[in-house]
Amino acid sequence: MTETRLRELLHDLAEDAPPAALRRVEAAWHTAHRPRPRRGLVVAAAVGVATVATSVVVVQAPWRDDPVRPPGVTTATPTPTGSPRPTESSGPPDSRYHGVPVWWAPAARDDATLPELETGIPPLIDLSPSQDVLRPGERALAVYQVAGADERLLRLVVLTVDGDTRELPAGRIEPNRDEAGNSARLLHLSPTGDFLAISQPGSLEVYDVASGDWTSIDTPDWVAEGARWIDDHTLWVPDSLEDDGSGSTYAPDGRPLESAVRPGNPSLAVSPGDTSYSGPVAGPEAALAGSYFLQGPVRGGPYTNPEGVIARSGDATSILAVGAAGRSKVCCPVVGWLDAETVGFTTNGRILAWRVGSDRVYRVAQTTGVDPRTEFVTADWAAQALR
Amino acid sequence: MSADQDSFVAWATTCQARLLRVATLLTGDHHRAEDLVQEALVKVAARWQRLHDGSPEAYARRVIVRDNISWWRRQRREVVGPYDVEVTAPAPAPERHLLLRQALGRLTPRQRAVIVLRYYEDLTEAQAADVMGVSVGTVKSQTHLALRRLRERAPELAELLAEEPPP
Repeated sequence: MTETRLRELLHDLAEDAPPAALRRVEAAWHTAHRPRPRRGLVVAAAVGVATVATSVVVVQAPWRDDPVRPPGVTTATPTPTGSPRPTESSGPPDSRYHGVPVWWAPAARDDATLPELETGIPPLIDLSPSQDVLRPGERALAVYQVAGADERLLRLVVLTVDGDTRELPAGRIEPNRDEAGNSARLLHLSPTGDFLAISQPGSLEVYDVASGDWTSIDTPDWVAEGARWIDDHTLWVPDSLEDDGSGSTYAPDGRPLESAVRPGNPSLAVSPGDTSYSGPVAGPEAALAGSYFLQGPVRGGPYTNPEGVIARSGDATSILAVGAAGRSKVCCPVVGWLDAETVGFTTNGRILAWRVGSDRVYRVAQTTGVDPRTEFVTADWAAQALR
Repeated sequence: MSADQDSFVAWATTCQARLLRVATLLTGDHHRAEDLVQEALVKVAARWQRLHDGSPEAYARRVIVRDNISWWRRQRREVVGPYDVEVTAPAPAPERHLLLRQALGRLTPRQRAVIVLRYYEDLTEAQAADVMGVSVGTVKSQTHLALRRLRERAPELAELLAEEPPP
């Protein structure tokens, strides 16, 4: 009987799993019953950009709170504010992963004392309520979604290329949920920040940042969260979230396009078991950067299966291992390339920058104006406007 | 420890290995499976007073399945395994594990979930639909799609993956 044999094979596969670590049972109880306000502080600090939803970061794997400092980290010494000099030297990699050099990021407790790096991103990004309203003609660098604990949208805050933060009135926007009622991706900022597409259960609401006009594009139910900008004038919507192979393309004003262009699916995986959770984001001259769960083993740090920012520039690929103490799961989504050598990523409410192919990590910006007990933040960035 | 904590620890100690096996089949990644189980245990612990007289394991299983699907959706990632299966000769038994594991890696999280729930957990279509938070029709269609994709990706296993006519 075929189903019986499939069942037997699945049971055989399941038996291959290593035994569970029993000590985690009590850790689960303590995590669930620790004082909520303090937990919320950690949670909100861990909220990053891109598509990290609150449920992903609410529970920080307690067994990863390893106080051991990764060896070889050299980024904890503050230096005067300003762009690092190009002559700064980098230490050798802490290890190699399938031949790719790996440097371990500093522990989260050292983030506040990293040297600053001046970029086009303001050092403080104020997400508090009562912002001035975004005016037509202002250009968007990023858009932040601030939601309540019940996932209700509280406000949309646009970070402009001039470094100001503005509120985008979002009365027409509802929380986006998937077919099963789970929170789903909301924001899709176009590569240069000229258009913002917002997923709704049966439509995409597209905001023209230059004109201040909204356009509604009807979509089949539940697929809008899979929308992607192919370029600033082409928005692609898959026919099904289960299959990226077919879809429809639209102009930002809602006109259907006949384009046969499909979104690319580049990968920076070093090992077949590496899995992406953010990006890859394109940089200058075909450079790519993305955030991955690394299958490992990765040596030279406190864990053998960390998360990592993988960057490829020219023929060189390098990894910043970021799964160290004080960072939650899905800790470090990539923001984009800040210049030809530097990738920005978020962690614990900060934007950090990594000079690819080196051990140098810098502090770029920090978000403020969010109540960590009741508000949660996600964001999307205009990758091409960053550099 | 309080009585609640004692009873939670006793329950979780008993069932966590089962939950981990389910999560590993769902994800194909033992480390992420551990994270899913841990998150489910935390959610059960937070609701223990309401759950402990009911079906905490069913609740935990529901959390694991839905969190896994939601996680992948939020990351906008299509699950595509790393290997193309090109071998066409019948596979000996030890290789079937690898082939099935690779073929499962080609499924979307939802398709993988229906396979695990229907053929590993032995849930009915209605029970699987409840766990996944979808309709019975969706479970049927996803099961059909999943079996078809498994057959395409692992033709050596076709004999195991034939759909049987309904009784």
